[in-house]
Amino acid sequence: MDKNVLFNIVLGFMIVSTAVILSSLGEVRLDVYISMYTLEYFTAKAVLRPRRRFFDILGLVLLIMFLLIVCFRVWEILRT
Amino acid sequence: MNIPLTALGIGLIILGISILLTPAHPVPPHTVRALLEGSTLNIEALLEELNITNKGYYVRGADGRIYVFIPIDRDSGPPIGEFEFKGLVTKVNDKRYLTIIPPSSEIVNIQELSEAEFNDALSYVLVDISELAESVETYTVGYHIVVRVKKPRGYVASWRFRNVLGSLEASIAASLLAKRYGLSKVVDEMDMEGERIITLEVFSYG
Repeated sequence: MDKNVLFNIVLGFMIVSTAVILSSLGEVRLDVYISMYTLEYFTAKAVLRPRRRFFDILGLVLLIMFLLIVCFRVWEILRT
Repeated sequence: MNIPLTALGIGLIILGISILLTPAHPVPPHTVRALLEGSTLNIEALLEELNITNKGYYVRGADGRIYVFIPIDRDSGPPIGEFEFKGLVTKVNDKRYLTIIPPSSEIVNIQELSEAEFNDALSYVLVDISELAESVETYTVGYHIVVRVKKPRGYVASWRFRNVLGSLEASIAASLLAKRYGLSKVVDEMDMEGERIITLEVFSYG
């Protein structure tokens, strides 16, 4: 199977699984979901190395969001 | 209930963007491999006609393109010095070289390789783009760079091309090194069970 197609199938499966598992565990923090999506995206990308039409802007956006979430969590810990 | 649904929505947006970023009709790797192999046949014919047997030097030109300089007479060393690519024969410091543009001359210039390490760049071209090999491993032994190509899949065996420029895998590796360091050469190649060991040399340039 073409690895580009496989990447999207794997990513879709991971995202839906994450949403189902975390919601069944009663998770209500949106940043946890986004962090997991980011980790899954980069893991699948590192393993399958899909081609991109141009610069991977999605990866950049997810990375920035992940960094903001981490910074916010660190700031919360330092504040208390 | 709203948060999990929102999260699922965000996940689906991520998936949608990922699908949009995926090229609809990427060039299949076996087509890239066929194109590369096909281009070796022309060079093979030229080398055969001119009865060239010396090993070629991979040189980065001023335009960033990779050229192969093959000593026409006896091999009196690499072409170190200024040169201008004007035709088939180039003179560098009164030495005459047959000048050829190797099949990998342009592929090593693609943007994805610009900041990659040698091993990653070679793996990207040989494994991902062209599927010429299953995996690639590189290490340095003294002044030489050794490339271990596992399960090479190059089927076109041009004898003279291989003797002068190296196998297609070696040619790509040498081009990548020349792109990086300016001047390289395929020293030796050895086919073992399911793998090819390529020894390359990098020369000081300038």
